[in-house]
Amino acid sequence: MDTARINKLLLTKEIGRNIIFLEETNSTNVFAKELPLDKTINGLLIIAEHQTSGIGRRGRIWTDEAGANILFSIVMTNFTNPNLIPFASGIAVAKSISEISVLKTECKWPNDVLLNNKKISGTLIEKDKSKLIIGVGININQTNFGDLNKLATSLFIETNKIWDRELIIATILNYIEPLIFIAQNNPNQIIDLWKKYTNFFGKIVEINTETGNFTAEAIDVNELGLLIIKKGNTIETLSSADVSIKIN
Amino acid sequence: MGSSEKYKLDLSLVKKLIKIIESSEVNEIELEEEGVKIKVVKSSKTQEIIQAPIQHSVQVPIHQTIDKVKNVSYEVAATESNKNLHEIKSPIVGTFYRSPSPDSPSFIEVGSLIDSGTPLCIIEAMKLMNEIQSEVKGKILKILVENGKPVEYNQPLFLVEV
Repeated sequence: MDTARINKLLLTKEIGRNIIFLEETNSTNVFAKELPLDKTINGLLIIAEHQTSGIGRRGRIWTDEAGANILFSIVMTNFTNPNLIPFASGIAVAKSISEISVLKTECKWPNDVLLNNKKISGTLIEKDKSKLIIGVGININQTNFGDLNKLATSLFIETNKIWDRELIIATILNYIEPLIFIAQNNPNQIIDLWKKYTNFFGKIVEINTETGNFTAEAIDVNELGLLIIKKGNTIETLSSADVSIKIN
Repeated sequence: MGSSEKYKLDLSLVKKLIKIIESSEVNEIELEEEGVKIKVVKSSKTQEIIQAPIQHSVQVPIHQTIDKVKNVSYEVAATESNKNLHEIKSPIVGTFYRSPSPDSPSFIEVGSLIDSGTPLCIIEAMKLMNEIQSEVKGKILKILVENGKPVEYNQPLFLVEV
């Protein structure tokens, strides 16, 4: 990974202007969390070639082939209203991948990105009082996902080509900086933008929550970012769950 | 004694008062006549709403109304409680987790001594894990929400003895 090249391709003001590059780490989010605040600057980017214990939502494992994918965390120390930043991240990844690969990407609530109905990217954001850590994983040149082949894919699997990871990272960062601003200042605009990348609505989805699993119809996402579903005859909103489109 | 006659009179008055209170926004009527005091109080519908399962899932306009109702009851709870007690409330709508991940131990237990800045729980909304830290120093008396349950904005999460 050539971080100097990423820097050359950047158009951002703060995000990615400082980079910590790691050949291997447990997880870029954990590294970011443990980094002392006085060594953190707003927009700091932590990139790893390999994560030994990559994490997803609620302790899920995110595995990767060393050197094949994009794994980074953006650390923000300056944020005001971050609740909709998950959507900014989903849009930035979906837009960058589809522009560079000319393949149709799709966003799945709240911030996964799919290619041919399989997951190509996920974001996990962690926040405490002083730091907001946006952890992003994107499958780029990985050739195989083993048991997860039905659920996960990479740009390589879809195109049989090796892709330029530095260009993809820089493109994502160039999009994500203004999108983070919009997410914090104009909730309706970020939700409307996100909706352009999804055809999720009207579909029957499987919903897994900590308290149970059920099937419902995905109806919409409201201005708070909550998923509106129709379960039987009742309309409900969800703030967090694993949602997957039911394929009959 | 004239008291039994007066008692009958009062009963019909009470019935009237009940009718008035049922058909109005008024929650309480108190009347004093010839040394007899009658007080009619409407049972709180607010309470019923709160005791209904806290469905996280309500259409937005209703959602907001319910939030308001809940806020009222929280304030009542706070005033009734001891002055040395402090409620830590949820800053957002989301899902409450007591541990950083399902396999790891809870941040705190009942009886844990906490300081300002001690991590207490995570509230997840849209895959954004918000670590909630204590704003006070004290001892955890009660954990008011079950792990994995949805919470509303401003819903009390912990009761702390400060």
